[in-house]
Amino acid sequence: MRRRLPFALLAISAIALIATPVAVWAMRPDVNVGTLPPPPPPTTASPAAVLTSSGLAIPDVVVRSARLADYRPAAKAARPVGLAIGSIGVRATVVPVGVAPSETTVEVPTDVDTLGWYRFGPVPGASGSAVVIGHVDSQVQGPGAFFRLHELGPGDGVTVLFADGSRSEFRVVARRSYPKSRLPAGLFARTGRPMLALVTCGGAFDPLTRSYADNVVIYAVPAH
Amino acid sequence: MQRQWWTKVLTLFVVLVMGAAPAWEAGAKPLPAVVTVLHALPNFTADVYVNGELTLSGFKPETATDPLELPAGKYTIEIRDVGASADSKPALEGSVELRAGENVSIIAGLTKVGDPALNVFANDVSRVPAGSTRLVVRNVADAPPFGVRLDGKLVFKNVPNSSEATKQVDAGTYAFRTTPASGSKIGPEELVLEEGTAGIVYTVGSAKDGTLDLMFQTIAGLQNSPGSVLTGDGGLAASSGFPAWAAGVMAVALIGLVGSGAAIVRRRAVVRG
Repeated sequence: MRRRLPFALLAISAIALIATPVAVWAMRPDVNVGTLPPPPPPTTASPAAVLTSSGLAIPDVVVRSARLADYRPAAKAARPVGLAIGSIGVRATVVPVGVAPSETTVEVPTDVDTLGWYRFGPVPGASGSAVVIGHVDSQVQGPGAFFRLHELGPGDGVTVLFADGSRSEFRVVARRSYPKSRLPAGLFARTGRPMLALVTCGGAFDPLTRSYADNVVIYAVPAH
Repeated sequence: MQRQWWTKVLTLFVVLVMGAAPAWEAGAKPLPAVVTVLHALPNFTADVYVNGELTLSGFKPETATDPLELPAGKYTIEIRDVGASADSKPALEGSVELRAGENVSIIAGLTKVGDPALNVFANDVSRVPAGSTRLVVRNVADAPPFGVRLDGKLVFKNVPNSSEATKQVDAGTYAFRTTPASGSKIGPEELVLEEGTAGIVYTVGSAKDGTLDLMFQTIAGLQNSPGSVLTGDGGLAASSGFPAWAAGVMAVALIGLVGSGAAIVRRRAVVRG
């Protein structure tokens, strides 16, 4: 009996050595949950002209003033000024942000408790994807407004407060994680079904470059 | 003899490929051209004939059509005074060759000596970097060459008649004005350049008649997405690569493996000895 003991120990150790990483992999939390609505169908084009036997037929050409003095860009609805997520205790100010100078990255508010709304895209609730970004953390300031964003999942509620005093409710439909260099183009869509995209950093952290590997995106749709 | 044989094969190959290529291309749905027609002849209401057919009636100065999709091909354009008979001599005529997929602006304007002229400009509809706009200035005015300032800053030194100048600028609202070589200037006028668009400003009219003005065309949908969002450098939220409990289990297992292995080897050595 005693002779067998080392062999039993050898077998158990070998199994544990192989099974543990497999179990860890199998039990890893699911980063991507929920389903995203399908992408919008291609935009319908202007009335097309058709060649008929009698020549060119252009249905109802729309003519309008082209004086610069008469030009008015399409008015945008009131911009978002605040955002609240009850389930993770977020209540933050939202400021408009653009693109960081000389870079292709979105401008990020300096204060980690302030969120940024990508002002070149739609406002939350309008057609397309409204993007609100926030710090997960900062080396100097500690945890940011979106520190717990990755905990959100389908069904969670998000409230947006607008400059005109109105508010809109949104419902989370999906959570996705993307490598930073591979954000989907649809994240900044200007057309299609209204979507609110909350973006922060996540995934593995590289202490040398002081940066996270991924972006965590929470997708929410207007709650009706 | 051998040479001829090779030549024949090669010729046959070339004929086959060249014959097949157009057939293959024809299979794809032909792309239309996108055309915007602008009217910049002062004090002249026009009837526009395309390929001999009255297409636009009572076309007023400083107006434009919405973008039209037209099949590629050659078009003749005749412009007559409103109500003039279809067989009368046109005030202005020209032809334009539209290629599949291209985006052009056709503008009836004035030459530098004040004669009416049909100008065709190809529009660059490639995407612009996030946050910016493609500013295009086109001169179809009867006026000396001029420069352009945005918010007082010189962006174009010299834009002669029937030519254009292009520059990528930050999206925003600017005060637009021309800096004349001599005499008359246009503006300042408010110019809103929306992000991800091409904003095309036309200088139109005649300096002599005091009809100088600015027309504007915008092409939307040229935006690019920002490349990345960098929202953390603290590392507090880093996903733990490997949980501590698993590392512990594996360390114990490794000790067990080495220990039991050593015990087995030692026992064998003892048995043999």
